[in-house]
Amino acid sequence: MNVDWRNRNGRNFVTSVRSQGNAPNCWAFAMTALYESMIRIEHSLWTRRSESDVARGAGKQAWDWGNAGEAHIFVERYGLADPGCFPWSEAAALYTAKPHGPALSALPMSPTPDRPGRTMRIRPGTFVGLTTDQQKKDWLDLVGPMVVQVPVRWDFSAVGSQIYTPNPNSPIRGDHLMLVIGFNDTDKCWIVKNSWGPNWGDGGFARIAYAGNMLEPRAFVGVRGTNPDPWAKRRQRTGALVQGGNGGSNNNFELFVLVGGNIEHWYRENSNWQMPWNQLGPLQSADPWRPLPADAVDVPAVVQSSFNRNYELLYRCSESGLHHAYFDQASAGGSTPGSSATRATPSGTPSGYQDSSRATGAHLVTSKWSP
Amino acid sequence: MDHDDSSRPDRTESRRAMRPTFGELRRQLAENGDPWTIDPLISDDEPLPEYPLGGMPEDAGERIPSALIDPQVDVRTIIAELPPNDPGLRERWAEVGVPLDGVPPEATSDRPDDSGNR
Repeated sequence: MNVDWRNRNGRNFVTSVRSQGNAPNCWAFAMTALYESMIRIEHSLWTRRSESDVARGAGKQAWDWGNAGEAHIFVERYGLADPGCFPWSEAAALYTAKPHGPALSALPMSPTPDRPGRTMRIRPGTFVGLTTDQQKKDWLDLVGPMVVQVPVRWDFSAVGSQIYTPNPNSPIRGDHLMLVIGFNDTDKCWIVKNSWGPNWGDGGFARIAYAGNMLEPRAFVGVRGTNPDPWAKRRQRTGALVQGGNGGSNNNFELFVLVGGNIEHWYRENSNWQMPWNQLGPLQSADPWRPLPADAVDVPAVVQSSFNRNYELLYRCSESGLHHAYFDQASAGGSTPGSSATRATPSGTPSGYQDSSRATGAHLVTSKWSP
Repeated sequence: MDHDDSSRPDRTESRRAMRPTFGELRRQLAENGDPWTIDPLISDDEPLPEYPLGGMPEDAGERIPSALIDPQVDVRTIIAELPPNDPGLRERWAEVGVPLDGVPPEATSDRPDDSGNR
């Protein structure tokens, strides 16, 4: 049995190798790597989390040692923010929730005020420690990577791409935490991701022989139930209401509702203090020869995509399965509300949504909407 | 306050002197018959890099009570409550017989969802 989360079914679930610099904060790096991998496994998302957030949030500075339990207690209670909220640093930090501002700019770093909205959360009670090799391998196979705290010897600094066996004559330096990302029963070794940068080991990873009995005596810890922050999920949002970039303040609400088989587009002009709702009317095909049938049976799922900020709509139809329509923001000519909004362009897929519908070049005509 | 470091022993040098060298490690590996070797491009005189650690002894820090699972417990019974979404992982669960309906093989949980993760 071989498991390597860098390549499971052709996909990678392990985030990039980091360096803890000179700080004895391996515990924060190993746990952060674990959360990032579990988010990837559980939500198919790549997301970068901040080692400083967990370390300083847990009340530790760059010179403090720690363990997995401390890190997880903080994350379970307060979540784990991204580096944009609180970046990694070895400088002393005052970890508070105080708002930033000119008067406070001289204070040591603290997280941005919007931290609660940008943290990954995790379901309580899902932190487990496993002690037998069978349990550890089952978890690595069926759930994901795990963190281990082990005593390391001086010779571990010299590990390369070969399978490492600890030399008993090499003095022990102390305890170190790493992410176990798999095992290989053929080569009889564990596979670990370290936090000593990509120049250590084999690109930051190493293989440790079962025969060395280095990891076996220690418990492996794993977590489940990650709940990524909304920003990390930004490309996966669906719903009938999105906040787009249109309007006088570039933050109008766009609403799509089902009215008698048609999808109607409304928007709220957020730059107007009265925040009026405006009706743009039903979606109509930009191609007059291919009218959009009034056969919608569901409110669409909507996302503002990274394709020119287009609004992408997906909804179920009575006659043609799923239907994909989009509003071409690129040709909207600016952010003036209403007058610059464009008509929906149906993809015309007869039997279900096809992502390549636009690539075919079919039905790409757009037209400006006029009231 | 300024610190006058000139009166102190050079800690960096003394620590460097304590560090084993690659040459010493090569000899140890050879004596022990270890199967792995050191990159031949690294000279014997070079001290081993002192990478930072950070693992506080587990009995000295905060621990999470009841996190350790009984060694007799089959992992498949404790993970079944939360089936994966990843298609490859779901296939793997099916292969090894872990139910994908969220019901553990030999136990059911009536604990309400108190996660607060909404």
